[in-house]
Amino acid sequence: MKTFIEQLVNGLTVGSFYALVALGYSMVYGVMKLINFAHGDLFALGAFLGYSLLTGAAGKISETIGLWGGIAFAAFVVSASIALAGILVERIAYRPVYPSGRLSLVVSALGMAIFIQNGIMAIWGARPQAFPASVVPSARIAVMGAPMTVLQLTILGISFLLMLIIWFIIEKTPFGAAIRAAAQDRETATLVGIDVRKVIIFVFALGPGLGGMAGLMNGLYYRAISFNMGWNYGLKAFTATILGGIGNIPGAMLGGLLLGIVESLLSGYVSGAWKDVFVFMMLIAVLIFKPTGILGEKVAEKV
Amino acid sequence: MSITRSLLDRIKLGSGSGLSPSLGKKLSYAAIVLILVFPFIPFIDNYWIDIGFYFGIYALLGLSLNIVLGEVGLFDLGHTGFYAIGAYTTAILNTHFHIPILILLPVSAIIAGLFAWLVTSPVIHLKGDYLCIVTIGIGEIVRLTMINNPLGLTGGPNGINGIDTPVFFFPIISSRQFYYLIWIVMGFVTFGLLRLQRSRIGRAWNFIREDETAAEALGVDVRHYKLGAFILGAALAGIAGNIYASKQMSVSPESFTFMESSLLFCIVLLGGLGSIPGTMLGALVITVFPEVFRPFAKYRLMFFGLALLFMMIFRPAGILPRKRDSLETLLKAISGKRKGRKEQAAEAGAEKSLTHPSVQPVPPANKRGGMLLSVRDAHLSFGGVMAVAGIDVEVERGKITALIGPNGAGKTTLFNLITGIYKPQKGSISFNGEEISGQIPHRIVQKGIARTFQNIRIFPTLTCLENVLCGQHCHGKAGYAASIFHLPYQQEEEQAMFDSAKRCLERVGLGDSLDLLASSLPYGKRRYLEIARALAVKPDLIVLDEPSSGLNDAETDELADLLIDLVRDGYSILLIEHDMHLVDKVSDHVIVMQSGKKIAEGEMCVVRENPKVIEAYLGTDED
Repeated sequence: MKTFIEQLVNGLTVGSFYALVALGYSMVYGVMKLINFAHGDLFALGAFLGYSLLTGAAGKISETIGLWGGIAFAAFVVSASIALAGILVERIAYRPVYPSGRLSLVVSALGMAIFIQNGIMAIWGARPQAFPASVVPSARIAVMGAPMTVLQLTILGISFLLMLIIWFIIEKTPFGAAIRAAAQDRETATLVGIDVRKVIIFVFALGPGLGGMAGLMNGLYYRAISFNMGWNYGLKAFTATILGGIGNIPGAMLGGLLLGIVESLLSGYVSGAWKDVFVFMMLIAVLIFKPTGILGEKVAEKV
Repeated sequence: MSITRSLLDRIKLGSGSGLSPSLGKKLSYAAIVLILVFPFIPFIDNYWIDIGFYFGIYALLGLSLNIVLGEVGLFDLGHTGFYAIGAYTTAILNTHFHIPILILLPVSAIIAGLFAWLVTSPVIHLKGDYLCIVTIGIGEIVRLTMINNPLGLTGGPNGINGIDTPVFFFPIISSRQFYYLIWIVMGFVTFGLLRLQRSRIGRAWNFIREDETAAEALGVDVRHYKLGAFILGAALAGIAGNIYASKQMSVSPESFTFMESSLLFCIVLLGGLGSIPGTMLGALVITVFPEVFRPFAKYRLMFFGLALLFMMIFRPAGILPRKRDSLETLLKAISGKRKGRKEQAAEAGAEKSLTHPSVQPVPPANKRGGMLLSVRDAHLSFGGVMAVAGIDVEVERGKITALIGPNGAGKTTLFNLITGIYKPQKGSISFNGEEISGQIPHRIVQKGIARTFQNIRIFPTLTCLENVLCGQHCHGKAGYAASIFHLPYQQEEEQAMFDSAKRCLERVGLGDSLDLLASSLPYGKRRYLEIARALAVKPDLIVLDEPSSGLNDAETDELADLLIDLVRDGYSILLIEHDMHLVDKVSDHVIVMQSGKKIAEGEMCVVRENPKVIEAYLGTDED
């Protein structure tokens, strides 16, 4: 039971990273019908930016207002900068390519991903970096007999809070309705007076903003970060997006959490080495038997 | 402004390559000579010869992916998986059983092809991004499996070492020998692929890329050709894997990452979708780029990412997009080497098509009268909506039957039932006395039903002739081998297809637009192109979905004349139409549909007076 709870909470933590990154994929795909391959690398950029802040400027802040204050400051700066980076990515890599069609977009997305990944390598180096112990809170508590860190619980809490906020924005506000409308039919949305350009900029800011935040939390949680971590996380988060139903916001959250838990249980009870193989097989099985994912709706093609 | 516009049109017309055929030919010869003498050029050391070798490997991989991505338009971002299967097959069989490398070359190809067949069969129906994601998954599964070292076969993260060198009378060891090995293989592959491109198979691939639904509805077995492309692409990647493994003398999972698949994807897109020289150029860029930027080692991949971006912004169609062949080139390709038999073949072709009923001025007597198509009690509902609710429709031979009714009456759905796009939930559809309900569209086409679409579905980037050749596809028999080796029957078949397609285009008045790209036709002519494509099926029944929509009055009159002429030629026609003048003018029999049911039928003048029909169109006074 103790192991189970441990695995479950670990799964939920990783799952919440996936979920936050998956939200970005899903929102962009919903509105643009585009797989933003650079998204995973923006997540990695968030982790590295957070690392630099906490070992630099924010570290100084920590000294005066405490560890958590420094982290909060870093989180704020990271989210804002990665959101800005997301807007830039859309502006530079996608907007000029829209008229050339889907295939060109895939390539420019890959190009952007390669650019960011190698940009990180050029700045921070090819070797993995580690968050120093001095910037990571180490307090521990026991939950139902299973030892946990306060950091882990905080990460979980913040992730769920963020998801709740996103869910609220998308489902309950007029702007969220505009996003959903643009996702269903961009042209008609334009016709009824929705500024789709604004919607696009918004999803390209919000998605990466969340992704950057997840990157920072991931770095604090695992401590070790490497320049190419974006590929793998991106791929997993994307799998989560499909699981939940691509383009569907609650689906992305559900898919992410589910994937994290399944992975964690697989590595805890079956085999850590094969867990990724299982995950990708699950992905293919979902696409064969329920291509719309858990919460997605079927769209029939008109002949 | 107008200059930009005409420039755009020019690009469209010339397919953008900008190279004249003769210049293109000269450049190709120059490239071949350069590749042949490259290792003997002074100052070219082993380092650069090795780069030439890797250029060859990437060119082969690029060509193999180009079949799937460029020709058929299937997003494959896991192609490295097949490459890995080829490399590991060679490595495992060679190190465990000491089978010579060159024998393993075809074995690797077969295993990779089989693997592709196995894993893509269940997912081949998925569209666009979904298939793309599955291929990413497949690529990752292969790589992770290799890392996990199942049964101790793959050697885990370190891979397998100690692979032999190939022996072809003498051992192939030096850089120069490997260089020639890969380029000789490339020579054969390029030759075969060029032949395939200009064959029934290559065209079928392109039809699917342009419009899958239209291809299936005109007789192309979409599933078969998609799988074929995957298997062939995987087999070629398997060959690349074999040669790569023996050159490296080792394999490891690091060589087969998602990044590698992305690079291959970029090679094809950089060079130009579906273009063989373009793909090679793409491979050249990808292999030489990192070398040129070696001094900036740290930043070179960053530059590479940027270069991809700019490329897609400024030249999205790639460096050397494929130029479609004119009829002349096509004919030259099939009869160039058999000049003596050229005339003979042309005559034979002409004779053959003359004897075919579809081009005879008077149809055979037994084709007149009698029931051609009969739909009995057909039902189909979408969710709770009964789109077709138990309808009976009969189409007589040699007549024009019109299906009319208000929007949403279920007319197009009925068409989709007849042509096999949907299966009826209940009821039967028989054609020429044979039950066809529930069969897949391309089978129904073979039985003699051809269709057009409400919102025109032509193949925009192919020429008019190629568009019409789609209709001919189901009558051809030539397979892969016949197309690659130009077997005599394949040559005659091609000739007959060209002749027949040309005649169909002439029949609808597009005889002067053979070599134009379909996208360059004005709207009205696209309708005619669709009709010509349907005629090329040589069908008994032509099913037209609102042929007059978007046409002006004069054009509609022309269309009416054509339809009447076609019936005179021996075709039977079933059409959906909203233009009552056209219906009045051409139809022998009118069926009125409303809410999925038939509410009246008979001659137009009778049906028009039917109170139910008036009500359906105009509503009642009481409301």
